[in-house]
Amino acid sequence: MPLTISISIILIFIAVLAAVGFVLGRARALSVAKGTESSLHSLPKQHGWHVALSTAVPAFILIALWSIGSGIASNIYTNSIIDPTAPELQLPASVTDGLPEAEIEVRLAAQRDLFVASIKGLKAAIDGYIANGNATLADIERWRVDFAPLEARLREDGQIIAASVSQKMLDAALRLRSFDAAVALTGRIAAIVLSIAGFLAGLKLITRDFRARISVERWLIAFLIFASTIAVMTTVGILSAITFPTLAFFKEYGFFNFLFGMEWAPAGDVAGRPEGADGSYISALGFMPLIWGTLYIAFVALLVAVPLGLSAAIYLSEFAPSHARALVKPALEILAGIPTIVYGIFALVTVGPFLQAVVGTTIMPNTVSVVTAGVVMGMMLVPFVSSLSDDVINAVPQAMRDGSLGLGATPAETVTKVILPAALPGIVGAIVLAASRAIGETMIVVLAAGALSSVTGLEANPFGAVVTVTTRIVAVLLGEGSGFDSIDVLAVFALAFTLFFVTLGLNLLAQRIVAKYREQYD
Amino acid sequence: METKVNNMQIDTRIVGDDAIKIAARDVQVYYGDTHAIKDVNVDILDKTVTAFIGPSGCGKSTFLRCLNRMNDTISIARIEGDIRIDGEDIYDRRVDPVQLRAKVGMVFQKPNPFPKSIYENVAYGPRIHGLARSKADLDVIVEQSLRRAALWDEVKDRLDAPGTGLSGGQQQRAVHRARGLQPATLEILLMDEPCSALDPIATAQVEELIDELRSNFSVVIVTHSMQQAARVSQKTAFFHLGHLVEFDETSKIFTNPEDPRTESYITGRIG
Ligand SMILES: Nc1ncnc2c1ncn2[C@@H]1O[C@H](COP(=O)(O)OP(=O)(O)OP(=O)(O)O)[C@@H](O)[C@H]1O
Ligand SMILES: [Mg+2]
Repeated sequence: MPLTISISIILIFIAVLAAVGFVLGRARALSVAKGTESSLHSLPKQHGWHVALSTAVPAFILIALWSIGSGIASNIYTNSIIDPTAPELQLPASVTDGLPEAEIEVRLAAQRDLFVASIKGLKAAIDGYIANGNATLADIERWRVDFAPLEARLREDGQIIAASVSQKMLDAALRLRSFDAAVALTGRIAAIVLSIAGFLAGLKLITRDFRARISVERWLIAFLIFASTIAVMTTVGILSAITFPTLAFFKEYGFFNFLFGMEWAPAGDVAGRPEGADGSYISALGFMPLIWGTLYIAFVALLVAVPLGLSAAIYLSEFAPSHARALVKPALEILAGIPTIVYGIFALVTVGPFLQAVVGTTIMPNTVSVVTAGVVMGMMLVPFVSSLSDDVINAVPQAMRDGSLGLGATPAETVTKVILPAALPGIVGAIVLAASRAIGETMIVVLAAGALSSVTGLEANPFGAVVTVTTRIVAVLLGEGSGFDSIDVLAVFALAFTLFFVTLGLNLLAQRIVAKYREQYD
Repeated sequence: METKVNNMQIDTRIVGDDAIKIAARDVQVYYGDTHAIKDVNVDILDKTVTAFIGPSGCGKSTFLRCLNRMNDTISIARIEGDIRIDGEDIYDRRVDPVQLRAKVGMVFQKPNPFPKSIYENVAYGPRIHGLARSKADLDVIVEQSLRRAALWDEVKDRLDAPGTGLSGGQQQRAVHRARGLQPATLEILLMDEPCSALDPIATAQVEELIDELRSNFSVVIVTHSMQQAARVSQKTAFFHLGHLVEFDETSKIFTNPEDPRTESYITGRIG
């Protein structure tokens, strides 16, 4: 049985060594200083940190890189050891007959990928089986000739294996297993060696003049860079995950057909209409009705949120006595903390029926409508607009208010003629951010805007139901009948992609406006 | 206190009208827990320039701001005592601060141009006081005001450019001259370090302006320049750590102060 060292033991070992390094490093720095601490370039504890970091960081980095590298290595290794004559790699003549050469190639490659995957799956299952203490490797060697017990036992233990086990598969899996074990062991030994080396080197570096503080700061900066890179990489990851399906969709459906299409009627979502390879029903996936509904609702929402939010902000920052402020601010914050689904329910059960009762069923046939969703979304955005505007109004220098009041202007004149013009760029920024939230908002519109599965043209009636980009994404992804590779689902990626760019554009715009405003008064 | 009132009376040299314009009694100002102005009593005369001097942070601006209720805008500021202008308590409930400020104007330590064009900045005061009946009127007022600030040639081609684009000194000059065109209601002008950003020539111009204003108004000026105080004022008040240490004829303060702290300050040992 090959030697294994569990990864958690390695991690504990390195951590303990680093802690010891800290204590020893500090002690050594103190002894080097010989009582005159001020003769050291860096503080003793910084020397301690330096030893600890040089023990742990390179070793941890090695472990992280090794685990990525070993995954790649085991893929390459598996590919290199599989026997090309294995029956799993062959295509029956009945399948290949009449297929063009290129198509056969593709299918063979797919076959091969599948085989590699099942070998790795089997290997993982055996690993799990042994780790659960059910058998040793020797037992498994004995079952080599008879797969039935092995397969049955693995499944019984809850291990997942996709394909049925064959001789070639098991051979490969067992070879892969010892290969992986060897790679892992090498990596772990290397990590230990590296941490000990770092520990010794760190201790040895301690002299009066050694600039431990600067080194430690460099480590810290490196870590901060690493952390921010992760955020950037996540964005890039999300973007690329939606970009490729989107491009595939544009290629299939046509970019302009999508962007300027006036009808939205995905096959998978239209009841009773089969999606046909035989052409019986072809999805209509036009973007126009969706963006229209989205912008219409956002417009109504801003119509509500901007006057209310801005007035609240002006009152709070310019006129409110402190006790009123103490009451209104928390109330606005509570409003901001309500989950959007609650707003959605409020829209559906309260606002919608109320509006219908007021305007009548001829104009408003359903309780769901542009106004229902827009008004409630506006309420949701009031605290957002007011707290952002409050910030920018408060940032207007007091000197400016004084200047105006000192000239004998009234507080109202001061607000309208001096403070609002000064805060305007920031307020516009707040409104743009609110618009971007309104466009991306989902729960309220899912419940309150209407759930038509297909629409044609643009609804002008503010009391009519509309569809929005986000509601259609939800509907198609949760809708029955659409397979994940159907064009409807690809269209959803295109919707998400477009939505991403619309909100990204708005946010960038808001940022620019706000940044410009900052330049002026800092 | 009495001795000082007597001092005012014997001043016949410059003071034409020795009527008391502002009378402050036992004024205290607190910013939260900070006691910024302590027991200040002072009488400011009409048609006189009064200078406030004292080390930084001693409360000159704070006291000045009490005189037209600008401290109302600071929520943590609390004022006690009695301040009367022409015998009327300005902290009375019935007093409208807006009306008060039309009577007691203020030029601030920072010129704080508004986020508007140069033209609109100069026109702001005349507009809110309805000094101009038409756009043409206003054009004339703005031009006059900028000419008197000797700024007209510098800015006449960019009247529509933002006021923030002027240099600190240009801003101060524009503000002072705009102040020169007062609403008819103005009686007192409070100036907080009006020359802090000005070159010697512009400073001389402002001092000239103050001298002109003296014939019609009561002027209070805060300054860090003893020379300026000596040149423009007839009365000088020395503040120290929130106290009004000494208030007297300017000539007396600078030649023969009574309080040792005043002497230390003017000879450069405090501050
Ligand atoms: N808005 C405020 N909030 C709290 N404390 C303040 C405020 N304004 C002034 N103070 C404090 O009150 C005291 C007096 O300040 P003030 O501005 O009146 O001084 P000053 O004599 O005008 O000084 P300077 O010559 O530097 O302008 C200082 O201690 C200052 O810190
Ligand atoms: Mg001051």
